[in-house]
Amino acid sequence: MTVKQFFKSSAFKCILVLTCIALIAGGVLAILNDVLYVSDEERTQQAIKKIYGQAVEYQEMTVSEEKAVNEYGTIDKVYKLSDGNYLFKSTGTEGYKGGTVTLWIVADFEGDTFKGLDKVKVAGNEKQTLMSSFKSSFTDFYTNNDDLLLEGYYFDKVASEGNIQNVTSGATRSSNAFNRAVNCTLYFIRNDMEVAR
Amino acid sequence: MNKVYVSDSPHVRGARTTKGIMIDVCIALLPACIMGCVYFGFKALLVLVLSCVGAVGSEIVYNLILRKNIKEILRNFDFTSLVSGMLLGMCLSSNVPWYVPIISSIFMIIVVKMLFGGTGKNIVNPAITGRVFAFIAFQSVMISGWATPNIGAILSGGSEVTSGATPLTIMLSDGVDNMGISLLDLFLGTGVTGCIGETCKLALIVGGIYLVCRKVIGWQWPVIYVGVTGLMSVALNGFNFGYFLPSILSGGLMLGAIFMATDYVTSPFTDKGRYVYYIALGIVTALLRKYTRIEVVSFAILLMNLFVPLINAHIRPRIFGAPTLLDKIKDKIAKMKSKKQADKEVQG
Amino acid sequence: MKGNKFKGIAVDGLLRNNPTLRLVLGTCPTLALSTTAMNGIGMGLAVTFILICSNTLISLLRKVIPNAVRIPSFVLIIATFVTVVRMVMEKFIPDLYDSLGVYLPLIVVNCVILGRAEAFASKNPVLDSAADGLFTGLGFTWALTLLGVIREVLGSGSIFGVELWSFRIEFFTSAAGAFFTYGVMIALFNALFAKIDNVKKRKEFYAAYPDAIQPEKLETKTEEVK
Repeated sequence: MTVKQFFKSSAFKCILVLTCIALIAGGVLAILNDVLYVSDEERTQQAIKKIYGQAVEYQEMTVSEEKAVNEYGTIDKVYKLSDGNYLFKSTGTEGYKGGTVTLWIVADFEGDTFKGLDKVKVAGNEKQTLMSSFKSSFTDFYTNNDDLLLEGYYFDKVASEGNIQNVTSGATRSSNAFNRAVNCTLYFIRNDMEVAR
Repeated sequence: MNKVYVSDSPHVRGARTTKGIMIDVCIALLPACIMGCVYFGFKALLVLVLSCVGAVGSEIVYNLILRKNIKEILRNFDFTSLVSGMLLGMCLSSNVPWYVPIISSIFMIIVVKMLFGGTGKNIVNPAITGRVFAFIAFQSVMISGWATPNIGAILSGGSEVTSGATPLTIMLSDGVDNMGISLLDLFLGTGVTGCIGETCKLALIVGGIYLVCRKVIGWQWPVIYVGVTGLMSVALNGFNFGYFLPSILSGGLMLGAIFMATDYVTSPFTDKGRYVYYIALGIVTALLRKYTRIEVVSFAILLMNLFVPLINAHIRPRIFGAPTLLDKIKDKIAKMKSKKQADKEVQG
Repeated sequence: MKGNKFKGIAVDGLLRNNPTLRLVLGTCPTLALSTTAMNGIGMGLAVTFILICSNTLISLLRKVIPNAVRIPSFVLIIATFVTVVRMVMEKFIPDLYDSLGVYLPLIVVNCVILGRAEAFASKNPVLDSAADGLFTGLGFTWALTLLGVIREVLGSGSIFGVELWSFRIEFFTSAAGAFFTYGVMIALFNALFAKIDNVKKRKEFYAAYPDAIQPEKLETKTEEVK
């Protein structure tokens, strides 16, 4: 085909139309992206608002490497909230198939004393399959029970000895990881946090 | 003037009717129902009655909506819905709320049986689907606890029924050594946590023997299903023969094998097809039990029910007059002989 | 008449060619997002907005886009609008954005939008296409909301987030319940629609041919042979 024929053929028209649409669309989207950008900080703010129930000022605290990992699991993040409470994101190990459960835990603090657990919500999990069976009645066990405030941990299942206190039927090992995530937070509060005693 | 009657075949009928067969099945289910009520008390009887009333009632109501009159309905009543209702009641735990058997039995009869055309036209077993529906629909209520009978208290008038995990779930998650219940207890059903009708295996076997004697089911089919399940679970657990009897005697296997998998409508119609069906059922049940750790007999039977049309399409019954395998072999030998003779004539 | 034409388009979009219940298009978001009525309305309105925009633009460009590349062009245009809606939602309505989840970008390949673009917008003038987009979207919305209300009331015991009672049949919030309820709704709607259609057609017939004998008025004698 000669150059002139090419410019008159339908193939050229198709390419032209598609290119124009793509360019115009791309330009519009680029402008709008700048206008409507959602930053990471906004995302965390929204996540915390959802968990805590209201918008609060928060301040992320640094957790040193050795203190973050203890025998029950890992502390991922600690946020100090403006009304004195603390928000923990902790991961408990030894779940189903060796996986983990990650929880958001709000710990009630009056000044410097630990008063109890306020909210427990699931943040994620690894390799667990029955997470949908954990209803709110399960997490209420941790927030309504004040017996283990000062010492002691929720029992967990170690090599088929011992009994987990709070078990969802059929999800024994996932309940185990759940328990360990709460225990992880309790351990951190008692031993490694400079504030609480 | 003589009257001429016009009718289509068959013109000579045997004595067996659907009604008769279903009444036989009801009688066979009675021992297990009675033992269930003995173990679990008055609540079990209530669940059974509600389930039967729901099933029979929904069939009658559906037929009334189709504008048949009540006399015709009662005249044509075959007891299939009563059997389905009893089976569904036996699959539930005795501490379920009153609405569970009613809603499940209404769903079972109307959606699975009547919407597809009534008796004989359902593609899956109604009792099985009713059980699966109850399991999915009322999960929080059913999983929270199966009832454990406390026979001493019941005989003395009390109704102590506690909740716990079934022996099957203990066996599947902890291994057969941790089951904590003797084989004789499993067989007779004393102190076994579970559904109303499944716990007393002796009663189920008595019912099964009655059905075999009345020629309602063949004896080999439940035996094949149960045996293959046991052997497969032995194989899957490292060829540990300690698994054979506990895996046969726990869970809903006996009830499913004797009463539900042998349903006429949803099993293949040739003998060869039936061998394939029941062996496959056994393998699927054992596999699913090991890897999902819950009671899967109902799900396995439901799955295999969906394969039955495939089995029926490929394993056809022999048409009257068509050559059998023996005839085909004889034909081939005759052909080879005549060919040899023709060769000889050409040479000689 | 213009009014009649718009009435025809409205009836088509809402009832006769209802994308969910008659055309059975866009079942993926229908089944997944009808767990609650609020989700249903959110998804339906998002689809309606994108339908109107994409139908208008495609109708404007229908003489320009050559026939060979019409599908890629439609998808490009629809994808642009969907991305805009996604960005606006993430900034201003984050709750709805979270509950729609992955089904918001999936609107790009939703068969309702592509189907109406192909069948209507590429062949009709702008105002008609916009109206068709509006009414088809509203048809999708009402079907999705009704499905969501049924599933939410029976499955979670609440309606639009307000809890009604503590009795629930969890079957209806599961995937199996979605298929079941959807199937029953299609059957009932089609039966009702066929009946109303039938009555209307009979009326029109007897109005056009007043001398035709109506079957109910015939006298028949039947003898039952005992």
